[in-house]
Amino acid sequence: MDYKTSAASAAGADDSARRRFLKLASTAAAASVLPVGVGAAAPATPGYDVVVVGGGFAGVTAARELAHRGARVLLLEARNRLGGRTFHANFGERKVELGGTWIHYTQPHVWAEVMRYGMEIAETPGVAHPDRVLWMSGGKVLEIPVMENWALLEDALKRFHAEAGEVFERPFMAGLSAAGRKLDHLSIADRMAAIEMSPAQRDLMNAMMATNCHGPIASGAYTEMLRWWSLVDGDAARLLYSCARYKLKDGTSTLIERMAEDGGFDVRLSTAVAELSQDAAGVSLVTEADERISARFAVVAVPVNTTGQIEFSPPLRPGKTAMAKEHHAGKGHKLYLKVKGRLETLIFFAPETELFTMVFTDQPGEDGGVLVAFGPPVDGRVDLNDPKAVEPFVRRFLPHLAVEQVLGYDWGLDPYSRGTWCTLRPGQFGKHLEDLRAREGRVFFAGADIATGWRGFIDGAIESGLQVGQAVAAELRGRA
Amino acid sequence: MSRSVPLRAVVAILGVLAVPAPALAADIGESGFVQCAACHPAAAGQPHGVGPNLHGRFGRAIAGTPGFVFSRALRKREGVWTEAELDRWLADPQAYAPGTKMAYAGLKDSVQRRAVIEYLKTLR
Repeated sequence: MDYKTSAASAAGADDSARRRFLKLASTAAAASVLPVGVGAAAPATPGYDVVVVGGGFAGVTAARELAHRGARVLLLEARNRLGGRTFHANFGERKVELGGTWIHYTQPHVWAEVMRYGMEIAETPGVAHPDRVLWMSGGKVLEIPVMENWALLEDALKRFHAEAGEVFERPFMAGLSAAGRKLDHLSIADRMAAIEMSPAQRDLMNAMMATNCHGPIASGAYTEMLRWWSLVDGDAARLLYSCARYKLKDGTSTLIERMAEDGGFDVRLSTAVAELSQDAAGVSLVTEADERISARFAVVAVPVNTTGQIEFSPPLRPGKTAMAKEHHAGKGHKLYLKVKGRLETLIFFAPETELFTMVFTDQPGEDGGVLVAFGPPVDGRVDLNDPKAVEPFVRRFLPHLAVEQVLGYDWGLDPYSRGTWCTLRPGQFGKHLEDLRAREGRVFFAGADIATGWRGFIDGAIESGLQVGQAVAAELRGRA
Repeated sequence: MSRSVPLRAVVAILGVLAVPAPALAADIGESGFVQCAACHPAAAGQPHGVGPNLHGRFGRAIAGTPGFVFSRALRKREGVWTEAELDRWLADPQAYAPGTKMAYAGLKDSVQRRAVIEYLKTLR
């Protein structure tokens, strides 16, 4: 048995992967926390080499890498499921991805997992092959042939990102170059203001950029978009496809469960960490249920927005504590809209002043289908859980549609994420990233938020988990 | 099936009627429950999801479901899940139990909220 839960109440669903998960999971109540080392697969001597805090893709990857190298690893996850900011959940009779969804073969770390485990891929039709593209500009809905619209967007993207080559010699560079530091104070909005565009082109570009940073374009850093552009070799189509074309056919949960089953580490769900201290001998953690757990090393793989919820002793570097207060720019919403009426395969855009900035077909249909919609934070101005409140926006583009149901997940309210995917704010890249990535004695840090390449993506989480797993394994070897 | 009741249309009618019959409200509530069902199982004996299984919880202790780890915030609330308590909780979870793990901004429409509560009452 590889995937061991010593005290877990597992999430329920009826797919086969989930059944496999449940079979492996103990039925013990999560509240009755067992002492460290208890359980059929526990080591003969109590104590772990490494405790991993956070069971998203970064934490699970790090735990797997370490366990495969012979380390005794315990992974603690605050939520009642693995997956972090990915969540494959029920939406009526079907399942949808309420968090991170898309992967691409330009993303080497996640694609290696796809190949390793033989995962099946599905396409999102509205991005893969839209029959229509519409966008709102100056309060009016515009539509031109798909390829003409694309030419308009591509032209703006190329000019917007013209400095990418100076800033990123190549992708996956850990630091920010001197050229990048000179531009790091600029927001996406600042850069947009410096580019000549027609009003229609500007609104189209605003929609794309506000979706990229999942907030107002004044909140996201220009350098972050240059990083994306470097990752796709300046290919606009590849940028869009990398963000939203391919997904895991049976859901992100199937991949993380495969990784956990393959891992050979212990997992405890519903176990939030309140304190983490270290001395020369090792690390000591206190859970919210006041249980003490010790290990030789710790990997903290939680979102940068949430590190303030753990009391670290000694305190963390300034960059880490600053990010826990400032947060990154990703604070928007993602909703699935079940609509009635003929739904074609299409995509539509609107500037950030609207409820949604990018909407596309997830499932077309003659009598109805499902749209997926992204928008900047609404801060309570609109009730996003009310189909009636979001319908007027949709009907401006497609007047024949009725919105029957909506489903989203409020990642900003979730105490274990406090936001969506990471796009750094102006200045944070140069000021905080080095601190964010730095180990602090026996405590190492991992996560999609601090990856060098596809930061904010599933790929970035795996990249970071692999690197940190390797670094901790080297420490264990050196001190064995 | 009650699942196919068009929520929007019926809620509009109920808005006029003001006080829906509980049985009808429960049908609409089942449709509205789709937002809850992403995290909450509702069938007897189903394991907990991201949120606890809600079967048979109406009238029972707040944060009292066996086998689920509740936030400190919700554990501080005393009493049982009455209609009034559920109404306040579902309208604004963050105000009812600041620091709750339930990542949901609230069901703001009182008629829809009433319908979901009626549906929860049928889960026993």
